[in-house]
Amino acid sequence: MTIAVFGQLVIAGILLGGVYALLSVGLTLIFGVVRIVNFAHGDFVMLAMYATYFLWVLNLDPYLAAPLVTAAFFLFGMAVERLVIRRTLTAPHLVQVFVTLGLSVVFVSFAHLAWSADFRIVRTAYSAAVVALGPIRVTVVGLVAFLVAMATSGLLFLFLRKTQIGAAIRATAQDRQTAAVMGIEVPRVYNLTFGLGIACAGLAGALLVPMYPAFPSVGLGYALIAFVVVILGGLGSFPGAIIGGLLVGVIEMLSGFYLAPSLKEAAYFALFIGVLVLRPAGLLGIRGSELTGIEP
Amino acid sequence: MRRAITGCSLAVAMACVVLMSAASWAQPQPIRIGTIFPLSGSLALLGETQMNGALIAVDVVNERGGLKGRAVQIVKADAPNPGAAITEANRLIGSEGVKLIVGSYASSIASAWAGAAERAGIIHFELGGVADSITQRGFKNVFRVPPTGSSLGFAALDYARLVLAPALGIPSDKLKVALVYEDSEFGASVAKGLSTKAKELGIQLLAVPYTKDSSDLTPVVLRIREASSDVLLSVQYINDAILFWKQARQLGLNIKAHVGMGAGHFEKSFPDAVGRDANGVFIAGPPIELNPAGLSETARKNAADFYGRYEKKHGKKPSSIAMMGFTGMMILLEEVLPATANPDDPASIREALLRVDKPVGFTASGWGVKFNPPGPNGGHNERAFWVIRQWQDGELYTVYPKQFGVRSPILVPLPAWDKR
Repeated sequence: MTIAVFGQLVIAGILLGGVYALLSVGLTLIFGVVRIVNFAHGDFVMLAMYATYFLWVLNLDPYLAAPLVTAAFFLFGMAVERLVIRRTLTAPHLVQVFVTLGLSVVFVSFAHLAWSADFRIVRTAYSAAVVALGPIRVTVVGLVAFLVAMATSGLLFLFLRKTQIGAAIRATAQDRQTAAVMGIEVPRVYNLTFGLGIACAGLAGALLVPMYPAFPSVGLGYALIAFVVVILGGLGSFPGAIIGGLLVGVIEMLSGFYLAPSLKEAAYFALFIGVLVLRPAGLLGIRGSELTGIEP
Repeated sequence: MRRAITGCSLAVAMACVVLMSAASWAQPQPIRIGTIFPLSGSLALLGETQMNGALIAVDVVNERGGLKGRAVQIVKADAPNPGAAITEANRLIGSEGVKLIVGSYASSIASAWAGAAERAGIIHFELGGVADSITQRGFKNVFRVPPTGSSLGFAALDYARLVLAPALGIPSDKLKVALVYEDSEFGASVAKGLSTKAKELGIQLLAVPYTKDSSDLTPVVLRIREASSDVLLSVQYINDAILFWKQARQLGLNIKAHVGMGAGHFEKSFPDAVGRDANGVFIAGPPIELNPAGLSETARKNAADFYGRYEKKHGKKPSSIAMMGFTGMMILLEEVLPATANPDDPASIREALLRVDKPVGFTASGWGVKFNPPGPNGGHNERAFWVIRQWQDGELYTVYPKQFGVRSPILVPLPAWDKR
């Protein structure tokens, strides 16, 4: 029985970890390229959860709504970059931190005011559907979330590696002055990248809402996880964010069961501290990447 | 001419004022009772509900002629947090000059101003705060009507071992009980009391705490599943109660009976979110909608009066939280104050409070009334108790104690998830 439980926890952890990975990929992209720490990242996820929820109330299946939400959040991200973030790019770091923190406060307060603190739960015909692989039970929604998250991360990776725009983004990440000299419009790259990062957060939210409830402060938990994942995996490292996400998901589940459910967060934070002490740049990062940037 | 008119009008006005004050002089002074409830902030929804229940009692008594011809007048205060509770208590006592204050729904609020009342020699009559500590501080002026928070856990555990275990054919020393609870003050205090009691009774209890705003409870559900517990007791708020029960289905946690003790399982939002899966879940909680056969004549009349008036005034059925407000206030207005020699003197009120002696079944909640004399747990009403209700067809029905039960329990044991 215990092997089955272990297996159950690992699988559940990997499935959830896939979504963590997607959300962290967005964060690491923003950090790696625009060099901004987006403290509001989790709250973009929260807004996307609500957006998907309300589309569901209007009778649109969450999985059909997901592409819409992702596209909308891509545009939303670009708008936020243009209107808010851009003005802080030449300002001291502290200003940038406070701007995204401020956005976070605005989003959460808005959600609280507009939609109250009640949990919003999406219930579809397949919400409770479970696929049994032997003694291991996998929820259909969890499986779909994982597959879509992984596919999207893969596509994004290919986009960055194989397309011209992708190359422009990577070039800007490596050295923005030289990129500008080479004719790359750096502000447009920033705008696009921020949009992409927020689109990832938006998709993550749409994938999470069939599984978990939406409420105004749900973003904080996801933001914390995203930060742990990104730093664990190495700032600016795309594969690092993916591996980090899966690792954190699995550790959350295992520690919740074998230690105590209330120690879930403590466990992955302990791992996080451990990795940083032994490998300060994170698992796949390169030292100094927070200053010079790295190939995403 | 103008001066004459001004002079006449002034004279008329003065005459009116004299007549009016003479008129109010002729009426006896109202009895002023302060109220302290959270009417804003996170506790507002239920604070207001309880206050509304209490106000129905005031309406009833005033319509019946008041207390010896004196109308009952309420002086309201809003205490969204413990700090405000103390300030408001001092205001009611100092500026408003009340000698008797009722409150407060939430234990944290009640505990805060109890000290202020005690120090000022004012009576604190508690309608809804259930924390044991409220009557364990050696205060002489604090009286509390509902049962203690710790006894909530015992009520659930007793139901599990005395009623459910035999119904499931499990001897109580072989009964495996799991207790899942959110780890903030309420959950932790119920859990502590329960763990001690279970140990005393020799019952195997697995305690699984978790943090209230977790968005995933997989490890919690799996722990209980792997322990093969027979009966589940839970202390959960609304959102985690829903999430837990959903994940219990997803992960195949097949428990034979579930008794909830927290706000999460009392509200309509539970069956609204989990649909038919709510049916069969028991709750241990404050009484409401009891079988009239178990109540005294007075109680039956008062209960019917309460349900009718509340629904008419507020457009919906009252909850058990409102019933607590009504019951306590009726005890004060019908049994205590009429028997008080001088209702404006706290010492006199205290004396009347200690003399009240009514059997179980006497009030609309089914509770009796007998406040402990000063000493350990002084001021606590020994004849209050919790009832067991069960979700059936999307509504809650009282099932235990038997004399107050409206329906018999169903779905014992709960069918496995794949058979529902």
